[in-house]
This record gives sequence, C-alpha cells and structure tokens, in this order.
Amino acid sequence: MYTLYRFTLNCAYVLSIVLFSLNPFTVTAKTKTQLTVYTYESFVGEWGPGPQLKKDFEAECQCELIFKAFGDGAALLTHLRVKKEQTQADVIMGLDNNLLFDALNTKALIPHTIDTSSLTLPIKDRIDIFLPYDYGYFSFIYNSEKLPHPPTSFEELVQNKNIRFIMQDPRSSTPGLGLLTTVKKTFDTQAADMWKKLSQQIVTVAPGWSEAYTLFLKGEAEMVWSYITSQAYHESIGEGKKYKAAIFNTGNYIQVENVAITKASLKRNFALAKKFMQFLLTDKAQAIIAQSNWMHSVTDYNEKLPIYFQNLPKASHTLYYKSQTVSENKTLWIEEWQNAMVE
Amino acid sequence: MKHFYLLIAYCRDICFFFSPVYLYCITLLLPVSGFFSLYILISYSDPLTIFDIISKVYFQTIIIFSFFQALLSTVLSLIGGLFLALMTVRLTSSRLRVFLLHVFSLLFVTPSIIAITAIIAAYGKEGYATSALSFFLPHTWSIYGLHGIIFAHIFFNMPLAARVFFERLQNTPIIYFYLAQNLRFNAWNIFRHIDWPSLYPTLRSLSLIIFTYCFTSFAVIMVFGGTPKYTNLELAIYQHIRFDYNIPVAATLALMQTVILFCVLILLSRYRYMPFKTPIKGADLPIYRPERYSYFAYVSDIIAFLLLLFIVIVPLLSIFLKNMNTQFFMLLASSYFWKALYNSLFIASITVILSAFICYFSLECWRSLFIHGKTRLVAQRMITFYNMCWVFTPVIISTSTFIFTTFWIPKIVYPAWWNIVIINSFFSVLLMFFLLRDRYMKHCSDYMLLSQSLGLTGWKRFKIIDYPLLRSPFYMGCAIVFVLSLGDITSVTFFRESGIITLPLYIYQLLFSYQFDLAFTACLWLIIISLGIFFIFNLLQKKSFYA
Repeated sequence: MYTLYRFTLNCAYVLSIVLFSLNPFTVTAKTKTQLTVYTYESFVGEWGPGPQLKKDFEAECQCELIFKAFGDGAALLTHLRVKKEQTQADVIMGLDNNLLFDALNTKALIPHTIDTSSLTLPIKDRIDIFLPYDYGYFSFIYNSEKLPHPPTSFEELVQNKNIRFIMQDPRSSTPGLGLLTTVKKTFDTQAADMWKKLSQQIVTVAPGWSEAYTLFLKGEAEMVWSYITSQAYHESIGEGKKYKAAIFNTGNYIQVENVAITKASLKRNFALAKKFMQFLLTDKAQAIIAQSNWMHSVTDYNEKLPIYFQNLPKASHTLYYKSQTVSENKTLWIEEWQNAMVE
Repeated sequence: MKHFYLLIAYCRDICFFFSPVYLYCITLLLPVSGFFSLYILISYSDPLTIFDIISKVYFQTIIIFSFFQALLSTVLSLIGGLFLALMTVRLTSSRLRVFLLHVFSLLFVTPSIIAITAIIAAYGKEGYATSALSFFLPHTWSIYGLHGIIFAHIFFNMPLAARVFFERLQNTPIIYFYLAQNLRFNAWNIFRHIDWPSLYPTLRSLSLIIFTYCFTSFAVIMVFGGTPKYTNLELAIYQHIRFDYNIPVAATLALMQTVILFCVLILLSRYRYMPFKTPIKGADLPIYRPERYSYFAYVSDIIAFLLLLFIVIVPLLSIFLKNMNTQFFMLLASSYFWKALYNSLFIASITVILSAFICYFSLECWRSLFIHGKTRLVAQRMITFYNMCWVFTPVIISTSTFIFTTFWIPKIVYPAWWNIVIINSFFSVLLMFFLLRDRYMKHCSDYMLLSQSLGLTGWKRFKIIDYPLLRSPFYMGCAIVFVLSLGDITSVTFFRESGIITLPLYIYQLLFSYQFDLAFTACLWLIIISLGIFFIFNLLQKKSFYA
C-alpha cells in the first residue's frame, strides 16, 4: 500500500512538472504571413467580435490574424506612446474619438489611403489616419417597468427627484467621460451648476461601465448611463422592451471607434493591413461588429441590421467635440466635475 | 529518492546552497524590491507638483476622508474580528471550526468584484436582506455612503483579524486556565488577564495591514461611496497612469500616498515580537475554555454570531441564491473558461512555489538572527522593514514595475506573465511571512536544540524536522496565497497587454459583452474553486509521508 502511495505521489510530481513546463502562453509556429492587430480586451473575448472576424478574414486572406488584447482604448494609446515606431502591431483597433488627437501626436501611425465614400457616419470630421468601424450614442438606459415616464431632458431629470441613476467615473472609464462631455456640450458654462443638481440623484459613481451596468440590472437604480444600443441587446435576448434608452431632446454625444495602421507595418505587411481595414467595411464584418460589440454600423449596412437595431430610438442630434478640445480641456472639466460633486 | 537526497547533499557542499550568506540575500529581496520601486517613483516624480496638488481643496478632502474611513474601518474590523475569534475558539465542533477558518481566509482574498456583487445581492435595493429587514430599516435606507464603504471593508478585513486572533487564542497554555479557575476568574477576567495580553502583540501589524488596505481600496470605495466625495489617492494614481499617461503626476501621488502610510507605520511601529508560550496545535484539536458556558460568553457569542450572519453568511448565501441560473454548468462547456482557469492556476502555482521558497528562507534568516542576543535587534528591525513593505500597495508596485520594464529594461525580452508572478509574489511573501512567523518561531525554539544535537542542518533539517511539523500551517499559508493570486486583478490590468486571460479578466470580458448571467456564474465558480483549493491544501497537510 505504502509503495503504491509513494508511486502515485511521484507520478503526480512528474505530471505536474511536465504540465508546468508546457508553457500555456506559447505562440504557434510561423507558417503563414501574420497580421498583428492590437485591440481592447472585450473585443477578443468569447462573446466579442474578435473570434468570428479572425475566422472570416483568415478564410479570405490565407494569412494568420493575431489579436492581442490590451485593457481598453486608453491602454492602447499608452502602448503607442511608449513603443512608438517599435510596436509589434500592424493595426491598432479601438481608439475612440476622444483619443485621436493624442494618438496622432505619437507619430506612430500612417494614413490608410482607403476609400471612405461608403461611410455613413453622422459626423464628417475625419482624419485620414483613422478609419471608423463602428459608432454609438451615449444615453441613459431606464427600466420601463419601474419608470414608465422617463425624463426627456436634463432639466426634467433634475426636477424629478425620485429618479436616481448610476454613472461611471470619468477618470477611469470612457462612458463616464461621455457623460461629462455631454453635460459640458449641453450646458457649457452652466455645467458645474447642472452637476451640483445632478449629484443629488446619483446613486453611485462606479469605476467602470461593467460595474455600473451590473448595479443597474440588480435593481439599484432607475437609470444608468450607457449606450442607446444597449436597448438592442436586451431586445435581442427576448427581454422585450423592459430596458429602453431615454432620449434627451438636447442631443446625444457620439462615440466613434477607429482603426489605424502603424508606421511599423511598412516594414512588414502594409498591404495586408490595408486589406484588413477594407475587410472591416464589408457587410460581413460590419454585421459581426454591430451585433457582438452592440454598436451601430458605419456603412449603409445599418439598414440591414436585425429588427432590434431598427427599433432603436434616433438621437435628436449629435453632440460632438473635436478630439483636440477634449484632450486639452479634459483635466479642467474633470476638476470642475469633482468640485461640483464635493460641494 | 535516496539518490536524490544524496545529490542535494553534495550540491550543498559545493555551492553552499543553504549557507547563511545566501539566506540573507534572499531575505533582502522583499524590502529591497519595495524600496527600489520607491526609488523608481521618486526618480520619475515631479516634486514641484506636490504643492500644486496639496493646495487643491479636493485633495485635502479626499485625504482627510480616506484617513477617517480607514481608521473607522480598522477599529471596527478589529473589534468584530475579536468577537468572531472568541466565538470560534469556544466552538466545540472542530470540523465547524476548521470550516469557518477556511471561509475567513477566503474572504480576505476575495476579488473585489465578487465582494461587491455579494453585498449588493444581500443589501442592495432589491437584496434579500433588505427585503427581509424592510420592517426595521428606514424607507430611505440605502447601502451607498460611508456606512456602505465601512461595511464592505469589514466584510474583507474582519475575517482576517478573526483568523489571526484565533491563532493566538488557540495557543494559550492550558495551565493559565487551571490557574484562572483556582483564582475564580469570571469570563471577563479571563479575557482581561489571559486573552488580551496574548492578542495585544499582533494588534499593531494587523491594524497596519487593515489600515493600508482600507486606505487604498478604490473599487469598493467608489461603488459604495456614492459620490466622488468618497474616493482616494489610489484612483487618482490609476487615472494618471492608465488614462492620462502622466507618469510624473502619478509617481508624485504614489509617493504622497506612501509618505502618509509611512507616517501611520511610524505611529504603529513600536513592535516587539512576543513568542508563543506553548507548542502550537492544529485547529482541529479540542480547545479548553472554562468560560464557555458563562453568561458573558453567551452574550459575546451571540454578538459574534450576528456579525457572522449579517456580514459573512448572508452576502455569501445571497450571491449563490441570486446568481444560480441555468448557465451554471453551461459555462463549463466554454473553452475560454478553461483557458482562463488554466492560466490563472498556472500563474498562481508559480507564485505559490516562488513565494513559499522565499518565505521559508526569510523566516529561517529571521529566526537565526532572533535567537542570538547580539543580532536580536537586527531581527526586530527586519520585522519593521517587512511591516514597511505593507505600505507598497498593488498599484504602487505595479506602477513601478511598469516604469521599470518599459523604460529601464526595454530591450530585455521575457514572458510578460513573469511580471504578474513577481508582483503577486511580493504580496504573497509578505502575507505568508506575517501569517507564519509566530508558528515558525515557536517551532524553532522547540526543536532547534534537538536538531543541533542530532547534527541536522540544511536540507536534512528541513526534511526531518521542519517539513513534517510545519506542513500544516505552511500549506494553509500557501492556500491563502494561491487564492490571492487567483483573484488578482490589479497587476493583470497593468500587464495584460501580453494577451493573457485569467479568470477575473474573463469575468470582466463577459461583463463588457453584456453576458451578465455568465459573468456571475463565473464568479460563483471562482468562489467554489477558491474554497476547493483550501480543501485540497487541507487534505494535503493531513497526508503524511511517514504513513
């Protein structure tokens, strides 16, 4: 018995050593041309568009598409700032409109020279380096069972003290910054006053979108700051019209996600990178992105998206700041917000 | 096997593998890396911005607030932990006692996303406890605010305090109680004259750990705080490094935080180590407590039970009841889940092996310094230095590692998960050292003369004396460290560019893709796996090589 016990134990040791020596993070051997795309975390996740895009693009190009995930858009930008032209990435995917100016300043990206006439974006302000691949509007999402008559403006929201909402911190999350810019764009010099009034109705300021939305779904508040397209998700899984987007008549702030080619790709496979960007504008890719990233399509494929996308309410008009303005004033705006909330 | 030991013995003679000089170097690893990271921060910080930052009202508010809430959380966690420890030590069922200790160990190392979900499931607007207690609670009651923050901090830290206190209470010499009975001590006298003196020496380091934790935990403060009024420096550091990429300001803020924590440390640093009096027992052995059936003990046990019920049991049960859905087993079919689990287990295993190794040598070095009168002062200072390392929070260590790897050694190529392992090991060694030092000291004072008289040194001493007797607490320490590393999110956030998916990251990925049900299911699995790890290590410690 004892020998058997020792034998099993030794086997377990050997087995564990063998298991550990097989490094789980090894990259597969190079056989085809590789295109490396750096993107954000949820893009490449099991439910993100990454896996399906990889499959479809690889079938077309006879190459290997490697997605590498960074935390979020800001982390991608940090990478560009640190590595500059030394980056291993051929394509950077997931820079939103607020980050473009800083990304441009890294001088690590080059113009994509792709025909953008098929784009149907609501804003025409373009930089020839960045190619938009999806967009969405920020808005409040409310639970229509608890809140049959949602507010239609910030003033109405402030008047109805029973409505409480959850927002994200603009210092640590993109949607949070979206609310900050929305209020700033709408109220300009009165923004601080509006924040003072709004602060009475904030349940909590969550560190990120996922925490905020989790709290909302657990019934902690009547409204949460998110995207109009969140409504489409709930409709798609058969939750009917329980969760809806509240459209304010003052307009909705837009978020456009962009893809760009790095200077480093010139030495490797610029042509392939360009092909990938063209692929992103095809109907096939747009369908995948819209339905797993839950964003609008940037081409006229928007009209062919499933019914729950067609049912989405339209933004009354588009609010938008130039990337440079956001980059230069962000710190000031955040300070203004902080001071208004603390008082 | 015999040949293997022989080989080790030869190696020892050749390379002095177990010679003290080598040991001292390993011992220095921890403080040196801590202070090196501080040096990196100083070299990148911009001293002129300090005045700029301090002059802002906002920063003054958050520093005062952080200080206040951390102090309150620490005091309450320690008081709660005291009641829990007294109850645990009075329990007659040893199985229940061991189970409770596992749960206590687990709670301290729970990832914050799970703790947040658990507390919301119980005390949120639609939580079970809120609806059950709606009769007693005011209509406008909500978990958000200062009380929410303090509740969450007690949820994390009270179990740690209870665990550490239990260890001391359990090992009170039985003769004290015989004496107490002769002197007709009542329960209060027993607490005052027997328990308190043995708990007192741990109070300082424990309160330092809890204070640091509460002072710097930003996810909890943000979610339960309600407004940005309740926030802390840690978030500002995170913001400046991840979003604004303003390293000078981030480094300055990190430096300010470290300075504040150092001030707290100095207040608490008059630490004198007090060894145990009797041989240390396992938690599953019966404990003699004469006051078990007195009124005083009943009242204290009822308070402890209520604390346990409302702070530990209700949130943990609620998270299971609320999130148990049809997808519970469906998750197991996902290859991503298994990949994430495998990566997490891989990183955690390497961390545990590395930190157990470093911790053993650190303990051995500390012990050998302590037993000699001449070097005892050095040993006391070593403890002070190790305590100092608690002020380096995950964000600070991650920030400096980030700066170090990107600017100082950009050319050196090595697998990026090593960064995660190294950062996790730093905290693991610290925690393990803190949890094991009393036991190790006692063990050595009991068996050192024996092993010297038998001529057992180095590997032989480890094999014959240390390992069989210290296996149980060592495995327990390993289990805690393993789970800590399993749930780590901070260092992974900094170094996830390497494309690693770990289990907590996978949960965030699911949340961002609107897969809330699956994400909560993954949270439940993470809790189950963590508990499973405690039980596996518990089984391991029972299996004897000399069976």
